[in-house]
Amino acid sequence: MPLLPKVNRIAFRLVVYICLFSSLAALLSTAVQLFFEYRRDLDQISATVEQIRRSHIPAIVPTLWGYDLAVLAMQLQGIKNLPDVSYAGIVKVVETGEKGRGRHILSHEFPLQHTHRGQDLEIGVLQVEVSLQGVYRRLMDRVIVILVTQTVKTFVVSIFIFFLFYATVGRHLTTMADFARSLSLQDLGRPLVLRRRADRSAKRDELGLVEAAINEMREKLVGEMDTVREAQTALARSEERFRTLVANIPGIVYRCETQAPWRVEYISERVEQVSGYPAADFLSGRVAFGHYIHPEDLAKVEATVKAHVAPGTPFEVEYRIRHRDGAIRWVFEKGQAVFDRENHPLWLDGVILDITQNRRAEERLREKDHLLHEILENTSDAVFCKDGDGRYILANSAALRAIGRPEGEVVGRTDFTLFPRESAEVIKRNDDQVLHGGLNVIAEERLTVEYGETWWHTSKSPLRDSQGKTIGLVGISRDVTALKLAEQHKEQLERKFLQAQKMESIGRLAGGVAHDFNNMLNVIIGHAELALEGVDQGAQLYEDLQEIKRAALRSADLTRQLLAFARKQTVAPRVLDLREAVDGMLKMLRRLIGEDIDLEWRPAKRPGLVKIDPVQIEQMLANLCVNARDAIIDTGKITIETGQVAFDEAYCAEHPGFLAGEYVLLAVSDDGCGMSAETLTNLFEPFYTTKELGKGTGLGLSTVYGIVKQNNGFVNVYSEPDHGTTFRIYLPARQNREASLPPDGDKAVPVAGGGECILLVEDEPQLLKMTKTVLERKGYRVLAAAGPAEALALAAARAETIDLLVTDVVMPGMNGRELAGRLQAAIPKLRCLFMSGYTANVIAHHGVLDEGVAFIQKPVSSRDLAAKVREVLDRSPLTQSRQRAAER
Amino acid sequence: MHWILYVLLMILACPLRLAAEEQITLATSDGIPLSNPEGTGFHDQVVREACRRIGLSLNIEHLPAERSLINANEGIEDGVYVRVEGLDAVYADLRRVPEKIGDYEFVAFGRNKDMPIAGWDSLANYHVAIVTGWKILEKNIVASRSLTKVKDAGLLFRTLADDKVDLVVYNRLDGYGQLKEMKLQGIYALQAPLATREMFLYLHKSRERLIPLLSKALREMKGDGTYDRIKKSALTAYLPQ
Repeated sequence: MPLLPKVNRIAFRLVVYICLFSSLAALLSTAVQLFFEYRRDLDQISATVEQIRRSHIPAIVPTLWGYDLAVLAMQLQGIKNLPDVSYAGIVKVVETGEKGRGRHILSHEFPLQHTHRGQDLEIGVLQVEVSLQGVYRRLMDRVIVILVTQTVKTFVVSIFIFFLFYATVGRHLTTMADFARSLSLQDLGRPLVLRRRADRSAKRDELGLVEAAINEMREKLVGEMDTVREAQTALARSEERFRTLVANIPGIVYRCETQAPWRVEYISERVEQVSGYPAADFLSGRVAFGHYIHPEDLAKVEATVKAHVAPGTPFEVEYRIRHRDGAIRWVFEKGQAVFDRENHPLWLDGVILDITQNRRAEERLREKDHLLHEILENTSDAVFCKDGDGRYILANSAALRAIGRPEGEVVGRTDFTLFPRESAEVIKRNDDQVLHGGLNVIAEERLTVEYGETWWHTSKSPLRDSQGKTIGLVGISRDVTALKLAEQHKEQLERKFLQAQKMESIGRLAGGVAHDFNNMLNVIIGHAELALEGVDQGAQLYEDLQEIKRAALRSADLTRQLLAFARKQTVAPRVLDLREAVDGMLKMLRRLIGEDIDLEWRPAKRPGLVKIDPVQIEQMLANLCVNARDAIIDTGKITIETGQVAFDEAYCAEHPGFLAGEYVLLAVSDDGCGMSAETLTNLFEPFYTTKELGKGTGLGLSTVYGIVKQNNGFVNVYSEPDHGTTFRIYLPARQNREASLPPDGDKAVPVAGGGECILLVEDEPQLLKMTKTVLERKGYRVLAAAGPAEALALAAARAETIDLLVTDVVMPGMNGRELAGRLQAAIPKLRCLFMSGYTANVIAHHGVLDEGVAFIQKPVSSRDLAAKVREVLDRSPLTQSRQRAAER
Repeated sequence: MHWILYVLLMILACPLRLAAEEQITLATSDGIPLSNPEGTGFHDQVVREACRRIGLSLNIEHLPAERSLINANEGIEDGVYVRVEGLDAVYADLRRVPEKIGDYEFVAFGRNKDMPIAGWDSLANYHVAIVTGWKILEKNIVASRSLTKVKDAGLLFRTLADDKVDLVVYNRLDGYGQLKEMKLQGIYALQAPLATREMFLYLHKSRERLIPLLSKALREMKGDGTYDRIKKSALTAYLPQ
């Protein structure tokens, strides 16, 4: 037996405990005893007080009544002598002892009453004080005695118990300890034997039972050793299974701390494959999970784990790790906290899977998805998908813009809630061919949306699931509204172009006819006039010739109108104020329209300067007013007004044929019968008329049209049947009046020749002959040439004598202008006069004469010819020099 | 009709009767012959007559000396008689009637009527006894051979009769009355008095309004001979022959 220190022995501790307990018990019993002693003393004091009340007060009252102070003093002394009474006195009368001295004083007061004359009078108060100091002193004396007695008793009992315990228990416990210490699995056959009396009572007491139990346990251990060995084998197999299972899991199995950096308690070997670090590094603590998590993901992982540890819920998190070789890998972790019995989190258990490949595939998928999304969103075409019931399941931004609603109002709805019924039915017909017929449909859909009517070129195809079943459709629509409008515009322009071509062709035709016709008329008029000179005015022949001449002149007016329409009319424009021009024509116009129709004149407030031949203004107004007059059946009103307008580019874009700029307006309106759409379409065609036969030539508005175009203007007609018509003519505005040659006016021009030599060139022989005759009769010498070549030859032979060249303009081989140029090169003083049925572009640009060019329109009367010839011969040298410059 | 008049007269007379029967209770510690339980002592009669003259009926309470003062001061009785001058300084609620009731002559009583007594110092050679609580005696008898204090006059004179002391000092008239009561012979009041004090009636402050009335009545009694007549009739039987 090893020698135990005294303080470790049970017997010693037992004695200590007994001493402590006995002392405590002695203290408690002493306290209880003292308490009762104290109570008894207090009861004694109470008895004393009661004795004073019962015995002394009845004696004191009569003494006090008699105020016998000596007796009172004796009586109070008697009270004072009672046990523990420290003071007795009657208030303000007599007292014994010292009042209120010391602590622990119990004070009592007794009222003293005496019956006098039938009334109870309080004649004084007896005060008695009892001191507790005596009580305490007695208690203290008792404490000392009790404590000493108890201490001695306790010590003696403790020593006895110590020896008794060691002899009966302690030494056997030591034996059992030695036995247990020396016991091993190899020594289980040796029994425990305690050295005690060999009687039966010893076998049945506590030590005997312990001895038997230890021996019984020893025998059972021998029997259960095999079971333990089998369990160890099973455990080893189980661990092997666990190791194999963990090794085969395609991820890391771990148990780690609940807080970063998550040092591991257990980790599978797979960690080396994922992170590059061997499991031993983790188990030794050199590496923890937190060390290889990507710094940018560490906070996310920590937050996720922290959020799930406290509630004990499973967590899942994906993050990047940095492989030992530096490569970045994606992992997926799923884990859960493990708690102890007090619900404190101990560990995190979980698995970590390498999802790098999955992640890359996802990223590729995401990029592809993003690409598709970008394609869908960035295409200008509307792309959409619908389910089998025609409800939208997808619509790109272009589709939403086309529909005019946000995505939330489109997806899940059909076209019947998005478009007017007619449009929705158009769409549905096409959708049904795709959904029910399985066809690819390409169609043009005309839809009405919030901002107007639109056209869509739509391609729709079936949308099929993996089994090939049609589950909806996918469509791509392109907004072709602009294209459609452009086509319409193009058609409109083509119509206008065709119309213009037609007008141009008609004009060209009319011009050609008029030219030749003018030559014939010129011959007729010339010969008629020549014939008239040789016939008496009273003769029948004279009248007949006059009729021929008048008919030829009317025909000449007709050809002049045709030339005006064909813009072949030769004009001499100048800058003038349209107001003044119109104002000067009002008188003539009023005569023209008659008295039953009012003519209202609304001139503009400002001058409207335009460059135009005033004759053309007269032609236009006359034709328009005659048309207006004819549209008014009985009475009515024609309004003429002028004004200034400006067209910008936007206006011109909406109105084909108009050009931007400032214009002067000339408008003629009537409140007559108006025109139909068909009439409006053919309005300006020559010979198109709605008037009765013989009442109109069909050339009036054609002439107006030709004049407007010749002056670079526009004409606009607005008419409504039964309400009237308004013609608005816009002529380009001029800012300043140009210095121009003063009009010739009606001054009397001498027509007779003075023997000047005129070289006459005309490819029409009859006209050449007739004109030669006229000029010779007027007093001129005439050299007649039937063409330019002949003229050149004549001029070369007689250059010095030729004063004036009178030539047709359009001739075969060489035009008049060219001829004039060549001749004037040879004869600088040579003056020129051009004649033509129309001007072409030889001497005039679009019918407008170049400045300084002398021209006379065929057919021409002999008088007009003589006057023009005289005018040219008399023209100032300045005019001639201009003419030459123009010719150069 | 007669009975109606009788009732009216009774009603009218009732206040007068009540006023005439207003009562005053006075305490006294005097003994025979100055006061007795019957209320016929000298002081009893003087005070009663004075009260009667101002329309009061007197009720007399015989109490120990200090108790009579305490009770009168507390208003339990309406006043107290007869007491020396100056007590109103000690008992704040008592008011003195300035007209005195009588005089107290403090004399020495001895068995030998020739004992030379002249002043307090003459007591220096004698054993003296007094009644406890007599302040004037306790204050002035300071040089006697011994001073014995007894509870009451009976014990006092018994002490003298038993020859336990040489002299006893007491009020003359009370001493005469005590000797008569105890039927003691051979004891004499020695001349001359050691001190004489005027004795007065004190009233509680609630009865202060009666003081001038009683003073006037007492003066009138002394003036018209009533006082002397009462003194003679009350004290004659007790005075030595």
